[in-house]
Amino acid sequence: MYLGQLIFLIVGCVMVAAAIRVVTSHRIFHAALWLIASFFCVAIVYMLLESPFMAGIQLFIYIGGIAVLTVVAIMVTKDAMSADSRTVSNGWSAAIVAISLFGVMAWTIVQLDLPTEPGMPVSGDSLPLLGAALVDPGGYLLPFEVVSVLLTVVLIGALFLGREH
Amino acid sequence: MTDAWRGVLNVLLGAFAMAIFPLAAVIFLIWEARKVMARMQDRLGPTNAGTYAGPFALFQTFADAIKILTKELIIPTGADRGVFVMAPVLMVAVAIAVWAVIPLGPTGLQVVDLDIGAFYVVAISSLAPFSMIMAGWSSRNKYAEVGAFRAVSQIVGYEIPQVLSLLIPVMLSGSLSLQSIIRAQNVPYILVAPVAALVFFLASAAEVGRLPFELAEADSEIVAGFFTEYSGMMFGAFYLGEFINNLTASVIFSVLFLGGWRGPWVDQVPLLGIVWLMLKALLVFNVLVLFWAAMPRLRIDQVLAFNWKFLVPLGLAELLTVALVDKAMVTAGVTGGIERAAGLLAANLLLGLAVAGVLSQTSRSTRQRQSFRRPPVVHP
Repeated sequence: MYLGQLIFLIVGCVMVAAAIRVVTSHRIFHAALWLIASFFCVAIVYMLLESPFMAGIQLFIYIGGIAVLTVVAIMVTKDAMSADSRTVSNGWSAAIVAISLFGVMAWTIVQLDLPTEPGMPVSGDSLPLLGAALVDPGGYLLPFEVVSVLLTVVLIGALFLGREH
Repeated sequence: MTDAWRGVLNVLLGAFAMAIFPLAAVIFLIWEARKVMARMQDRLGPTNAGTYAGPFALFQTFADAIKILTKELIIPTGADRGVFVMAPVLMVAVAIAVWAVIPLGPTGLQVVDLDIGAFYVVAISSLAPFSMIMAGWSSRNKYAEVGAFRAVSQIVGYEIPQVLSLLIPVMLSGSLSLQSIIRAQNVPYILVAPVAALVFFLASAAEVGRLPFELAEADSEIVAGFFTEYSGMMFGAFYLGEFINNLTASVIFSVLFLGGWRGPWVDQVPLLGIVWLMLKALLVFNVLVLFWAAMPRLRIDQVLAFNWKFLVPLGLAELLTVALVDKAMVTAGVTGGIERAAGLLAANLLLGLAVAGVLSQTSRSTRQRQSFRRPPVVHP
């Protein structure tokens, strides 16, 4: 569809620009805000792919969770909220790590055997199917429960570390 | 014009109408809240604003709006301009974006009936704290910064009981779409799961920052909190966003627990749905106004303790109770709507009684501990 492609093009440009600003911003708080803009654009792309649930998850987990945690971490870090705080300039080593990570991911995606045509079209509503698959013993029940145990462990661990001495 | 473009135009017009709706409603609501609050405090409230205020000062808000539009926009010297200007924009944008999925009536009176409607509301609302952080950070003002700190710790925490209690209408109706949740409410869910309704209402009151949870702007402590440095229409945008959030919280509560647009004669006249929904929302809104007029402000540690030590455990207990009782009834063969509602109501009342018992027990033991600590009275 012509309009969809147009929107995708605009959103994609904004997303890439925001992502570049994340690493080039001098103030760490600006970097966090650009990161949120980039996350938001990803949510719009999910909407364009007709997957509102993934878009909601993107907003809820990445903006409501990870970005909030990032900003709270910045807020409680000494001097990070003040006007003249600069991000630590250790650019070259960061660039090497980022480029090698990008290389690994790009290589993996190129190696991946992606289907060239759409798979089985989902009949009707896909959301109940997703929910049923998560709690179906033949589906993903075991990983689902393991993740919940992991989260409980994380919660207890955080309480243990944060307790008053 | 092709069909695709006509569809796009339809959606755009619908979205425009839906964005105008809360803005227009808020003009009336500001007047209503001021009048109701004045009566609660034995005052008259606005009575006239010159010649053009109309009966009962109905047009007072218009006069205020025009005044605030003509005021100078002052950006402090040290402020971070871009972020400073973006913060009020984001506040109003997020407040209006939620209205995209709110069903005002049976069919058609909704921009989109997303099949994840309830989840969309939660996901979009999670953007709201950022406007406060942006305002607080870019102002370079210690009061604004303290307000932003408070807003984040409060809103992030109260999101958890809000989502936990939101899951109960979702579970009972078996759908995330707000339209389906309304259609499933042959018995309004406030009569099926009153504990969940209470938790959701308190969590919403905290999310929109209404007293007693009004810590982020606490005017007698930190000037105006995160929007201390704002003036003119940028201040107006925060004020507007806050009122829209109050209205939205009332409307969402009505949709989830009071049956939304359902009411007599809606089947014949679909437009009547708007009236019923707004009447219900107005009822909830006036409870918020009552809180506003009558409640003292809590301390930040009390607000956080109330969330983590009371609302979150209560929300979890309610979720488990409703899930287990509902499942048990379905297994036992009770499938009629009224019977299931009655069973769940009984379970909820039992849970409420248990919570009241635990609370009175804890407060008694706290009092006893405090009385032990008191130094003994020495008689001469």
